[in-house]
Amino acid sequence: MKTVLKDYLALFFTIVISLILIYSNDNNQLRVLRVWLLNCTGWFQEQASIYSRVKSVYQDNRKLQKENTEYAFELMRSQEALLENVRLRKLLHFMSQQPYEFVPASVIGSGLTRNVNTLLLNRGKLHGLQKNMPVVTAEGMVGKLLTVSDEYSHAHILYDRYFRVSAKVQRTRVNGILSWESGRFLLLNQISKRMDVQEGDVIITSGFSLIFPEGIKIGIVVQIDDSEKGLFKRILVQPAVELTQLEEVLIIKGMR
Amino acid sequence: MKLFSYAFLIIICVLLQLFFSRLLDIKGIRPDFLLIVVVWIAYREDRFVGTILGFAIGLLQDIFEPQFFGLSALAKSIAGFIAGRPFYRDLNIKYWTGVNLGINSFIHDFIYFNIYYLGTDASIFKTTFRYVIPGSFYTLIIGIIFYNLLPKRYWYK
Repeated sequence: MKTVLKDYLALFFTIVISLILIYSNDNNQLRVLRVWLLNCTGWFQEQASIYSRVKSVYQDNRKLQKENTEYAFELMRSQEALLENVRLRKLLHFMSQQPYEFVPASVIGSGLTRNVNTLLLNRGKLHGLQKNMPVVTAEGMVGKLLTVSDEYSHAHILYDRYFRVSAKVQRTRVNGILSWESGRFLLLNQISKRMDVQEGDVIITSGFSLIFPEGIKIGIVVQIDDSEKGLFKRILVQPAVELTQLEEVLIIKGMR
Repeated sequence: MKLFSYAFLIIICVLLQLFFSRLLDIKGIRPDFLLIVVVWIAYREDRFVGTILGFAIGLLQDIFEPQFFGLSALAKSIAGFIAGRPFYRDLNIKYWTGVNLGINSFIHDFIYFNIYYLGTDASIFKTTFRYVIPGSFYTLIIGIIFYNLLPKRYWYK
């Protein structure tokens, strides 16, 4: 009995005190006590939160790395689009000033092996192409079509031992035959040592060919060698077109 | 010796409540480690001890509560009283310890949250389903895990 009374009395008093405390909130003594306890526990709680902060930093880092990579790819794609825009505008301008009918094509593959140098283009018979049609860019000559299927074609480019084109010096109208043996430069043959050719002269197609119309820029003379035996000069020509970096080309279909 | 064990248990639960309850937060619901220890000790001892202990520990918790100083003391002293002498006391101790905790965490959370949200637009029904039931269930789960981790000597008088 006594135990039961003691229990109920304890409950009664704790409830009364709790209610008094609830109704007398925010007095000065309590505030002082709270501040003191806050100082004591605040530091410990801050240390304990290190784990969650580190975890949060790690997760943020992963997320930011992923976003950064995505933005970097986005930037690359934008830069590519900008460059493509510039190239295509140039091609468009070139096409509009020429008397020829062009078929634009993208280079979708290439075969820069030691012996045969070709480009794979994404245009074919269905686009009106035929074998031996000239391939050019706004900068100058690239080559000619070698094989044509319905949808695709192979272009034979200047860097090929079997490639020949009739060319002339734009300034002096001196004719010769352009070919390639090796290296970066083309070779202009059949030019007599008495002929006037200088470094910096522009080499263009002569018009004697059944394939290439007259006046297409091929390259610029970079070196002339008169010292060799024989009647002819050895003239090295730098191609006007950067043949290893082609992405879009034009195929000359015919006259307009 | 028993006092030291209880004191050690209370300190552990205070530390757990201070440092780890935040990590265990699920959509604003956290377990109450201090209630777990109050119910445990009250069940091992009697109502008087449960009431006083509940009041003291509740008061300690209330120091961190700016608006309702005394609310945890009220809720825990009632829970400690009820946990102190349940009718099932002498039956399977492990099983009924869990039942005791389940009942008392519900009573504690019911008192606590309904007074806390008094004067807001949250009805008793809404408070019960949003805070009381999830909170007491969460405390029960954590409590069962906690009790099962206690060494054997804690289970026998």
